[in-house]
Formats: sequence, C-alpha cells, structure tokens
Amino acid sequence: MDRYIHSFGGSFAIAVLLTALVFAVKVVSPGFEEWGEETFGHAWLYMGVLAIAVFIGLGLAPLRLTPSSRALATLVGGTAVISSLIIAAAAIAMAALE
Amino acid sequence: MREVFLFVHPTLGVLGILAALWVYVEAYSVDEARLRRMKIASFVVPALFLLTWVSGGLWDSFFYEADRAVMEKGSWAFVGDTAMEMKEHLFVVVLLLALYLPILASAMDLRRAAETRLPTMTVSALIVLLGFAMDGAGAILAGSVHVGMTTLLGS
Repeated sequence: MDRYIHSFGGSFAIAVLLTALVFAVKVVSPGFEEWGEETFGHAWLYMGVLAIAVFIGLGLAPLRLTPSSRALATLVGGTAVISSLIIAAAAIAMAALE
Repeated sequence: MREVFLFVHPTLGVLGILAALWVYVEAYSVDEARLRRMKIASFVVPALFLLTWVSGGLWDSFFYEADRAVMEKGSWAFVGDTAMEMKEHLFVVVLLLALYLPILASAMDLRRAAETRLPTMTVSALIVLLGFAMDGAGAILAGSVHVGMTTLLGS
C-alpha cells in the first residue's frame, strides 16, 4: 500500500500540472480549444477524463518521486497550489481575450 | 429540471467539503475509533465530488448557455467568464485530490499513523480550501448573471 501512496502522489502532481498546461495552451491557441471541443465534447468532461486517466494510469505504474511522507505532502500541496495559480491566471487571460 | 441541476451541484460540493473536513479532524489525532471513521469519510469524499462533477457538468452542457447570454449583457461579464473558466478547470484539481484521499487514508494504521498523517491532512485541507474557492467562484458567477439580468430589465 505504501507504494501506491507515493505512486498516486506522483501521478497526482503530473496530472494536475498537465491539466494546468493544457488549459494554458487552450488560452494561447484558441484553435486547440475548438479542436478539443469538436473532438471530445465539453471541456468539463474531456479535461476531467484526461486527468483521471493520467492519475490512475501513472498511479498504478511503479512511480516514486518522493523519499518520505513529508516530501510527498510538499509535492502534492506544492503542485496543487502551483496548478491552481496557473489555472486562475489562464482563466483571467481567457476571459480578457474573449 | 434546470433548477435541480443548478442547486444540486453546489449542495453536493459543500457536503464533499464537510466530509473532507471530517477526515482532517479525525486524522489530527488518531485512535482506533477515529481511524475507522476517517476511512469511511475518505470514501464519502470522492463519491460526493464525482456526483458534483457530473451534475455541474450536465448543467454546464444543457443550461449554462442561456445564463451566459444574460451575463454578457451586464458589466460583470468579464468577472463571470473568469469565474466560470476557473470553476471548470480548477475542479479537476479538487476531483483528483478527492480521489487520492481514500488511497492515503486506507494506508493509515495506528502503528505508522505518523507517516501517513501529514499527507492525509494536507490533501483534506486542500480539498476544503479549494472547495471553498469553487463555491466563491460559483457565487460570483451567479452575481454576474444577476447583474446581466438587472441590466436587461433596467432596474
């Protein structure tokens, strides 16, 4: 079980940073957003499904990015805060560009 | 049906926040009874947030367009658009935290509670804080629609 704590912690970090990155790319390239919605449907659905697929896929893989529980808490907390700030900045930019 | 989706998704979200707060409180000082309650609560959190995701998403898919058209008539359109984009994408972070919480809680036992306590408390605290941010964004969005409506009606 200890293995899954660390592998899912690492996969969480990668999945949330990927979510923030994809959103930032959508802001910079409106064509990418249109393509995404035409291909996969609404953003709430495909962004969530993408993130869950990355989270579960990498979480089940033998991935360990952190040596201790303190480092794991820092990784999870840090990436959650950084992703949230990127998403907030991208949301402001997207609304300004519309 | 429109109102059902509109009110069900924030209600489920708030219940999810309360369940995450419950996990945080139980993890703060663990004994056998608290550990059992914490593990149960940790599975309630993702169940509620998955339902929040689907109900909010269905509202976005079928009913948001009319609200957006009204919102665009008001002076808060920029604020409302920002809040909606934030809700749509920030929720993914909350959802993944909620899915990670039972994995952490299931691994906790009394023998090595100190090892898993900090990540469990970090994840549950983040769910509470980001959940409240989502609620705030929802309130701003509702306010933006209200401003658009008063602009349209002229009062």
